[in-house]
Amino acid sequence: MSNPIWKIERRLGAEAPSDSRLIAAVARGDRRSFEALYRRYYPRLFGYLLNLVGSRELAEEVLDDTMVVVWQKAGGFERRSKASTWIFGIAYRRALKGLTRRRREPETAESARVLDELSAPDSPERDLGRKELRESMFSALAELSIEQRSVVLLAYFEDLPYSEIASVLECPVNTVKTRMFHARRRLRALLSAEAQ
Amino acid sequence: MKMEILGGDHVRELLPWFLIDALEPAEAKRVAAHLEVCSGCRAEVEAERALRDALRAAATPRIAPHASSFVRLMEQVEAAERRRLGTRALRLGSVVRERVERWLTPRRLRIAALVVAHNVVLVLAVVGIMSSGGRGQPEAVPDAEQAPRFETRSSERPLGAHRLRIVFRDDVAIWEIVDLLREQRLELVSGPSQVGAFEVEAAVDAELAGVVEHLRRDPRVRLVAGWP
Repeated sequence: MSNPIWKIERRLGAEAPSDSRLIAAVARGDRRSFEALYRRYYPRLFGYLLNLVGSRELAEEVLDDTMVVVWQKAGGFERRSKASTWIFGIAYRRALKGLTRRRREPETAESARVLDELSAPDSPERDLGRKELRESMFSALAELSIEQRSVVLLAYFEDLPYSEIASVLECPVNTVKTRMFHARRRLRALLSAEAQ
Repeated sequence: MKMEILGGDHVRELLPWFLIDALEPAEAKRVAAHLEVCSGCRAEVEAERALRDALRAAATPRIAPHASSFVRLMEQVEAAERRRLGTRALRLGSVVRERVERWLTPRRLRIAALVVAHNVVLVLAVVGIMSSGGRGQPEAVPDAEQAPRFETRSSERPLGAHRLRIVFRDDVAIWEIVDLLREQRLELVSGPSQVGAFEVEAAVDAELAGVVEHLRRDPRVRLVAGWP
């Protein structure tokens, strides 16, 4: 009784529980499953939110907000979409609210600096090269609208199919394709202008 | 079956997902078939691959959460739960108040005042008759068994078989209580009472003495009653 089912299964050599299973346990108030879900999603959500909102403080705040909603609404998760889609959808909407609350646009310089701090140190030359690359990438990403930026991040950093991105952003699939098309065009133009 | 031929514009839209292998197999096949015959789209694939690689190279390795961050998150979860409960109680309170205000018209108020006054007069009259009738007679002292029983907020009501009454420390979170009850296979019967006591029932096959001993050793439990 003291262990959630998935912990016992793990001890018996079974595979880690699925996200849906963890969410079902969270709906019953299982705190340990909630912690497992949090630890599983933190790295992905933090990366996505940091690139989306451009500030470490706001990214952490939105991540916590997202997980509070996951705790409260776990009972309403109906498995019509994948668990990751559901969680990223919450994160996206909380990020929009967070940005509106702070009435500001993402700070690219801060994203790049935070990512530098978080990365493992390499040789000084490679570090410098990576730093420059990051700065130019993030300033290019910051030029996109938040919707376009979100599509790029979910496709290229999270490898999500367009149908899932449409569920996350709650928009038609054709809108996702169009946003990605324009975002790519703009990113390429910005990056080539910077290279010259 | 004849494969549908995709136009260049459509293929260009799908290229990001073709590159990350996130298209449906049939769609991926159609894109690949188009790329075989279209040099413009093949060049587009290469440009797109370069963009994707540059973005990914700029990305950071994924980091695990700090050890204390989950504790901080749970504090927020509990604060949100408290806010939600508080809002619900406030909403209920305002509904009740609104209904009472709507009911209390001046006419109804006058009737209510008359009823109260009538009852007060009646009670005073009964008390007066009883006290005058009993005057001069020695007052009987009730023995212990006949003495009326009073119940206060802290009086203990008798507990049923396999039932316990538990008081937790003030700083114990709700989820900890739920975990502890689940761990000891205790079913919540009622509570918390006005003094913060929970009444719980143990499983039929549970060894109650062991459960009580476990609870009494738990630092989160302040008091366990119902077992010698």
